[in-house]
Amino acid sequence: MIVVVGSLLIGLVAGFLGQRSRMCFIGGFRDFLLIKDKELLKGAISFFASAWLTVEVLELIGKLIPKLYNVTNVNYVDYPSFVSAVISKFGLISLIGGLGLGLFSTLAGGCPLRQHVMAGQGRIGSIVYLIGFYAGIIIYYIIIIKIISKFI
Amino acid sequence: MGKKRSIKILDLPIFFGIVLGILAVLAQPLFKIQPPQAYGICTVCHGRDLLNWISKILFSIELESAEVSINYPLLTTIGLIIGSIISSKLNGEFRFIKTENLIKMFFWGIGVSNFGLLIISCPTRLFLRFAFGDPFALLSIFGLLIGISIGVLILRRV
Repeated sequence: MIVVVGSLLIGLVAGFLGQRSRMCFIGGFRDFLLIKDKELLKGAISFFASAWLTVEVLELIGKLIPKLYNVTNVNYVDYPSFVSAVISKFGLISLIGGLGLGLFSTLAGGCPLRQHVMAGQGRIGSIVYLIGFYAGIIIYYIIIIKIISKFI
Repeated sequence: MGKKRSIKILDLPIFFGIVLGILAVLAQPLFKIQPPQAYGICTVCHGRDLLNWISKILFSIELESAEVSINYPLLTTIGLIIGSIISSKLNGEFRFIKTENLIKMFFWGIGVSNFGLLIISCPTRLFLRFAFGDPFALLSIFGLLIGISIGVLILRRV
C-alpha cells in the first residue's frame, strides 16, 4: 500500500515543481544546441548529481540492495568491462532505444515527464500525445514485442 | 522578503533536479518502490505498470509489469498530471490551448513509448539508472544526445 501512496506523492511533487520550473530532460540539451540556454541542462545535471550522491550515502549506510544488479533484466556478470557491454546485443539495443527516445521526444517538444506536466496545464497537443503514448504501450505489447523477440 | 525568495527557488530547474534526485533514490528504502533497481521515477515504466494493473482488473489481460507493481498500481503518472493541474491553477496558467499538429503529436507519443519500452526507461529514469552506475544507461544517454541532435537538425530545417 505504501507503494501506491509513495508513488503518488513523488508524482505530485514532480508535477508541481515540474510545472513551476518547466523542467525537461530532453529540453536541456535541445535548448543548448538551439539557443545556447543552459538553464534546463543544469536541472538535468543536478538531478543526476543529487541522485548519485544519495545512492552513495545510502550505500554507505547499507540501506540499498547492491548496485548494478537487476536495474533492467540484464545479467551484468556477462559483461566484465564497458567495451564488452558496448559490443553486446543489449548495448546496441540501449543505443538504438536512446536514439529513438531522443529523436521523437525532440520532435514532440519535450520528454514524457514534461508532456505529462503540459497535459495537466491544459495543452491539447500534450493530451493527444499522452493518448498516443499509452496506445503505444499497448501496441508494443501486442505487436512490436513479437517482432523484436524474433531478432533477439 | 523570505516568501518572495522561496517562490523564486521553486522556479529553478536546479531545485527540481536536487529534490527529485533525492526523492527518486529515497523511494526505494522509504516507499519500497523496488525491485527492480533505480525505479523511483519513470513515466514510461510506471505508465505501463498502471495500464497493466487496470487491464488486469478490467479485462484480466496482462501486458507486463515490474515486480513492485504486480499487486499495487504505481500512480506516478497520475500524480504528475494532478500536481501540474494544482500548480497551474495556483499560478493562473491553466488554460486549454492548441498549438501543435495533433496527428503528429499522436504519432510522436507512440514512437516515444515504444522506444522507451525497448530499454525500459524514459529520459528521467536513464539519468537515475546512470546515477546507480548502470553502464547501459550511459550508452542510452549517448544515443539520446545523438537523437536530440538529429531532431534539432530536423526542427531547424522545417
